[in-house]
Amino acid sequence: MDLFLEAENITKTFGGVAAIFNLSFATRKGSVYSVIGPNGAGKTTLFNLLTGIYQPTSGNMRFEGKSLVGQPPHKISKLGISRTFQTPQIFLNMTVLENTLVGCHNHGSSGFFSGALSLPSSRKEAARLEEQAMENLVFCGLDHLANRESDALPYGELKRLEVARALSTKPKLLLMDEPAAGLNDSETGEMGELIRRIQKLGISVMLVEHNMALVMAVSDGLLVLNYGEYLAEGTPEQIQNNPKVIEAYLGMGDD
Amino acid sequence: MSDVLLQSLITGVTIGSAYALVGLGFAIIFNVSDVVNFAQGEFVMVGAMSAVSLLAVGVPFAVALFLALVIAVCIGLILEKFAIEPAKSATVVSTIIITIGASIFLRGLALLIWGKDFHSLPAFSGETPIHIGSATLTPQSMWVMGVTAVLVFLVHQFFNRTITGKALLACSANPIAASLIGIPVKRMMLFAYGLSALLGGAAGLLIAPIAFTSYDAGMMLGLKGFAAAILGGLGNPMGAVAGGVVLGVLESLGAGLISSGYKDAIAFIILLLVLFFKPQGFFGKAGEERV
Repeated sequence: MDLFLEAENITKTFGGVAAIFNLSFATRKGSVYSVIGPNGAGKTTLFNLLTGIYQPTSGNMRFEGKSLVGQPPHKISKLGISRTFQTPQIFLNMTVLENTLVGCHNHGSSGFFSGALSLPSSRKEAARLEEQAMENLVFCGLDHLANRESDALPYGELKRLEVARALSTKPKLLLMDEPAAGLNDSETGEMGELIRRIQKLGISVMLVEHNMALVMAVSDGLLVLNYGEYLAEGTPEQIQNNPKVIEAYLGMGDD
Repeated sequence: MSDVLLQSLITGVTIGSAYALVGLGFAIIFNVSDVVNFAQGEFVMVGAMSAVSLLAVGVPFAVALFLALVIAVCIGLILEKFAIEPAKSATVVSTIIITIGASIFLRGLALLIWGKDFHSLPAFSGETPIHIGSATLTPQSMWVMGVTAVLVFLVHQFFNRTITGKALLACSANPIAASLIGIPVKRMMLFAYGLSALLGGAAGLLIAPIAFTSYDAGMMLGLKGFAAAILGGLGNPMGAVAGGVVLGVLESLGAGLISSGYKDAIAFIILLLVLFFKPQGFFGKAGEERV
């Protein structure tokens, strides 16, 4: 199996409370891999660990064989991991296109002076990056809003804008934290379809989501967490029929 | 009467250009970190005083100006690296207080190095003024306005045309999201302080031949630059530039038409009026938070 994202016995404690405890898992390249679990199971903490916002208390995480431990967020982004948030974290002081353009930050090379003087080389590059950003907006169905101020966008579109921005960093792995939270049924359906199209681009997706219909529809593999610990792993069918999972979600029948 | 007006206008735009550069520095740092850097004026003083010292030890004029700018930028970088960055978990207000402390420190250091004497730089190119009616325009005034215009243009292009400029704005809107899309937020902060110090230092060099400079020259210039930034709406770089020029003109009109004794008072009365009646400035957006 190709080395992709691997976590080995990771633990993260906050003042004695373990948000993640001794967790190991591995994901395959090209898959949609979902992490589910009741509230407080440590799903968002896991994303924060994988993206360098938190550092694990112990354990190892590797992406394509390179260690993620001790790396700051911007370095991890350069390795090819990008993410979206449960509540969209958009640069509200910019237009839709500019938000997406900033995601291309790593792929530009023109410096302060050539850029400020708009030399032909940097102008050509700016045009190229703008084209890329525009393609990502088209992909997420936001191209008609390109020059709108982002703070005027409704919630569902902000969520898709975050996806467009994340795609502009050209990730190999996209972490999506509750992409359907706050969306209505038809928007959720569109989001599911967007996730499938992202997978078709060859980008692997890791999903944290409470909407089980969405999770079961798009996932190749599932990891279930309970109180920060590994509970089960498997295909959607296996998980849906796993008694331990049913118990964690619904509680025991006899108490 | 019209000659007084014209002369006031020339003087005002000249001095206003210096305020504009300082105000621009305020706006850039505010944009990236929501912090008002009250050490901004010290960059002006460090630039001018360094040039004075370098000339005194026989460094050629152009080289001295260049080195003075380098020194000002270094001070900006050191300030960020050793005073601002270590306090990154501090609140905005605490960070502002740190910059006030840094400005007092820098002023004290300058007093130790340069003493209390007033200094001046020679004009960049000759002293022969151009007469327009009975008003005069000195070559140095033209230097001030010209160089300011070029710097402002470059900064404007940088923020509007380059991805690095956008990345800098992204850091201000949401540092965590910025870092997650690969923007090195720390380095961006360092860059912002360096750029602000460069602008401040340039302002110091440009006006040192017109106004005297001394260890505490940065305080008044810093406050005027702050007034300019407020006038234009904090966080709007081009607003700060406009604010600086407007402030300079009003100040010198007041000095010409009323009394030069009220020159500084005028700037601060304007600052107070703006804060009372239009706190978001003339080009700023009212602050709002989306939930």
